[in-house]
Amino acid sequence: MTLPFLTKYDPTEIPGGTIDPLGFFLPYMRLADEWIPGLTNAADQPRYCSMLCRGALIASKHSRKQDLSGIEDRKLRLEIIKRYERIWVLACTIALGKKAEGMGLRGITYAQTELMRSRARTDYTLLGNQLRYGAIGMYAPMSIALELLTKDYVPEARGVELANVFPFDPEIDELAVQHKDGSISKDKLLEWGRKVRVGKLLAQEKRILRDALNSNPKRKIALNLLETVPRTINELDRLRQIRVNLSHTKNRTDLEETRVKLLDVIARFEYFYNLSISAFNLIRWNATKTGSGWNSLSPDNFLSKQLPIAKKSAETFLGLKAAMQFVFRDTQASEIFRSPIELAKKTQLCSSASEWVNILVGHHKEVQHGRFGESTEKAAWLFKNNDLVFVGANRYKLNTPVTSNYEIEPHSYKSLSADNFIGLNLEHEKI
Amino acid sequence: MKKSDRKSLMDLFSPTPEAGTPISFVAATYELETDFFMTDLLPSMLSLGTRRDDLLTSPHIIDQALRDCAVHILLDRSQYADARGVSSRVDLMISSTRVQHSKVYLIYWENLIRAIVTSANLTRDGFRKNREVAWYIDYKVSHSSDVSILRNLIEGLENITEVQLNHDAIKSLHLMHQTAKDWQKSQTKKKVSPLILWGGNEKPLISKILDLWPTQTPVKEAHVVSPFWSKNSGPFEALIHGLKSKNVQEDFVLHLYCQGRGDPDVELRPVFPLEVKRHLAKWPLIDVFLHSCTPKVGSDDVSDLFKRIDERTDRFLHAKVILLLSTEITLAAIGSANFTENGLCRNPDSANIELMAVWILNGKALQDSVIANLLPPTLGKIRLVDVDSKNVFEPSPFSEEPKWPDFVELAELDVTVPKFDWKEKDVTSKISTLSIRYRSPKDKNAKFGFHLGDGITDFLLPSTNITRVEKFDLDIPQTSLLLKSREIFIYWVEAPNGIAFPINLTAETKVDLPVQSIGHKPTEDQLIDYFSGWKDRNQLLEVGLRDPEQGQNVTDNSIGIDQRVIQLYTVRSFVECLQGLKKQLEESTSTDKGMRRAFLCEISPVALANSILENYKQSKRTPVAAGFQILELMRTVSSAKITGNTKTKQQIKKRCIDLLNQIYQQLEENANRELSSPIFQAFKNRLLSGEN
Repeated sequence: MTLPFLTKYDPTEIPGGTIDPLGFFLPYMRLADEWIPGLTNAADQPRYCSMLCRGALIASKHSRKQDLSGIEDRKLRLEIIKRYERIWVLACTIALGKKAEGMGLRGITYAQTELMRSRARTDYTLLGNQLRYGAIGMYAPMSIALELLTKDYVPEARGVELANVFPFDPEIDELAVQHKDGSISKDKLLEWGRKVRVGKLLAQEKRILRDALNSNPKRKIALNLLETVPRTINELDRLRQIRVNLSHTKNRTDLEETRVKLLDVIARFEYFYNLSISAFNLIRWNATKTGSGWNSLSPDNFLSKQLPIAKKSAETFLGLKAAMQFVFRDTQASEIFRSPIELAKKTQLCSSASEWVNILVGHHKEVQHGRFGESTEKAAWLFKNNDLVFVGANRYKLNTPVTSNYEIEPHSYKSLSADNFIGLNLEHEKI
Repeated sequence: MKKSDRKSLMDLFSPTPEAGTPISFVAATYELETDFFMTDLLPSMLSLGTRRDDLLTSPHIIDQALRDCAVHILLDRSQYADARGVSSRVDLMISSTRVQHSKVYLIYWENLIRAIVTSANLTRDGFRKNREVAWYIDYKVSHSSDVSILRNLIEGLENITEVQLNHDAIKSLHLMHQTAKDWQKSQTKKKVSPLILWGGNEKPLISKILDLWPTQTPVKEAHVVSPFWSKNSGPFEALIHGLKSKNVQEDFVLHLYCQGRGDPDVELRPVFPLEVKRHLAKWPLIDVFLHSCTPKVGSDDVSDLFKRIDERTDRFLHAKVILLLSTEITLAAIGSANFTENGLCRNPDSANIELMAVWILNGKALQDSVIANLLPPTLGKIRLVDVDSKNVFEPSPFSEEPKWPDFVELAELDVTVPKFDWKEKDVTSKISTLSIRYRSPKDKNAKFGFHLGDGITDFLLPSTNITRVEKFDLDIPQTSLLLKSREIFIYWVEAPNGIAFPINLTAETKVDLPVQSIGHKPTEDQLIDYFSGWKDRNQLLEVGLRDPEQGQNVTDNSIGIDQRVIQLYTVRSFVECLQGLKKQLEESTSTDKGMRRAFLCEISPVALANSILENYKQSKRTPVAAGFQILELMRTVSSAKITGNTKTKQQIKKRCIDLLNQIYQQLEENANRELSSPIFQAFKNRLLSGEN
């Protein structure tokens, strides 16, 4: 019997939906959040937080004078923060010149275009959707997690402190609160930009940010541990090294114990991911190459060679179920890791390369069809007809051969962003 | 039903594997968004892949798929502007006198007929983001579903909106109904079926709904979900008086669910007209609560255990639900009608055309299920008596209705020249007939008529006391213009410059229509440009439409340029286009349908080979050049890789190669001497064996 129902949410642009053929993305997100809560890979420039706090401070000071209703007040504050960001991006762009690109500055091309005018406007268009993709969209959630801002974008005590040590300029502050049609000279932008540019951090800013980061014990421990190992090695090796160091620590606290187990899970999860995704990509490549369907019964040395390793890796990953339960106490670890666990169970029992192809293609289909938490059904990249494997559509073809599993990029566990936030990768000045 | 059984509307439009090919789609909606409809909804329904899948390779494939599937859309006059630009093969019918607000979608696939009653319009937000309400029923071969529901839906579409439906739409509806009847194997099993109620006829919709509530059964709670509310007391009075007439006392709790505005993590305030508070004070026994529905995407909205899209806040309430609950009995009404005067209370002459499906359910389990599935998630509720201007948002006023020529019912174009073959005709030849079904506007004495938007062509409509059909014969430029614009501009005393009004093509015209609005078959140059990526479909359209106006083909050489030079350039362009052609062919092979169209229809290697043969026959191409081109086409088709090399797909490819072969043989019959030369034969053998 069908009764009426409220419809499901089904937007076309769910992020990450099409880059995760085997259902490892969501468990990865949970692992990364458990390791360093609050930070994100995309938000890796701490100066954004300082700028955001300054913008939020002048916005809330100005809005208090206006006596507006809740929604109007919020609108006005957002407008001021956005304008402040626009001026700051102009200043950074002009100060950094050619170096501006690759510094994590959002909307640089918009700023460069605006700087072609004799005087830059404060209400130029920055990004297609500044709210979503600019400072507020990318850095406000983190600033809220670091207790620099409230959810209404009002600076908290620590945020006020950060806003006041940020090299602000009263003239720029005034320009940001000014309603529309403001403009600013390039000389002024250059002068301010040299002080506030992205990639730089004052000692006081660094201290405040570090305090904010340390306010969460999980974050604190992760950042402290990251500082103990060199940044020259790749991230996973760095995490492995941390795990080793930590395991040698005597009298570990409960939290440290959980970190050891978490790093175990991360290491084995990534290894199993690496082997599964490289095999999957090899199947994609074979199917792309042949076009009219790759026969999975035909011998493939790479797959045959990798299978015993993948089986072993699946077994060790499954052996960590207790550790997963230990780390994610308040949630169901088996739910979070359902997709990799199911794949590991099947891989563990697999007896031939062609069976492994079946397992991977079948699992991929289930992922795309929403069995492991996707909101809607999506077309599979690969599908099988008898023993032949086909690529579903052109965009899913793989155009470079897969020769080893070393080519697979592991997931990123926010180390770069964390390093930046504790000032390890940045220039900093003393005041 | 568990919450996890909820679907998105896109799911309902995606055919099941057994559904087969689409045959027709009839829809009534208030609003249609062209881009969403043409690039997202239709491809999904036509099994061509959706925007999300990125399987869609070329818009002309959708257009050609529509050749086998009749699509008729009835929409409101105020929303016509957003629906401009749909394919010529889609009929747009506009409600001329009343607001068309019902939302019903009837899809007929080869082995499945699906009827959907919902609150969602044909827009991207409606189908993908909003919080809408929906219900559907399927009819398959040997089904035991209740066919009377489908009949009620169809009769409603015909009777309530009768004047706007064209002949083809009525034909599609009747075929659907007949097929559902034919497929029925056994009598309808005892199931909980809804009653279909249309608003806009006999008596107000709210009265019809309340008539179903059992007499003297006390109402414990009433829940109303609506995105829009009237400022006046009308709907509330109608609800309370309606229940009183059934001897039901007014001592129940009334819950009103409104869109919440504000920060969903902190506080939401309902969007609700404060004035209603004053009206409801008349019934002190009724305890009224306002609930703010959250725009936040929650875990119930997606089957996502990980809540990774929790931060999104773009789910807006657009569902319309009325629930009346006694201890055991539940009345659940869902559909298109907002809790407004126009939606529920007006008399037939001024009421909106609305559609609600209503269930009367017995038992606590069903009641719990309905409550869980029809009441939206909220953040905070407030007693109406405690509400003031600080804790509600006043809704924005309704926008004014645009002017509309309500005296015109339909405009239909019938191109009378078979296969659009008007190349040889004089530009002044009458090649089509435009039929206008209308009656006189209120001011009969002022002149009224229509123009084509070209600043030249103007037709007066004769005054009439009854509804009549007036026919106008159109020449080549006028027909071309209409095929491109698909609208005329109707003027009368209130709108002297004219208001755009859609024209539909007759079924016969659609059969002959080669590719969307081109107005004639694309020429060789156009096809080459298209495959080379130099022209998109719209540019193809621009060039295509100039030809008939000039009375000549763009590739004609009537101004004395040396044919050999033209040929040289054409053949060179041809070689350059082969790569693009191959890519397009390969991309089309995800589905049988897409492949059939790309390999065999108007924009295909077969079409290109035919135009080459035609050019040879008109001495615009040497036989060797033409032979070379056709052989190259054969080689390109042979080497195109097919995704999912099924038997059907192999047959399509084979058919394409066979047709190219036949065209080559025709060429050979006419130019045997040149093509049988040893040099050409050697070339042919090498080419077909795959050597360069």
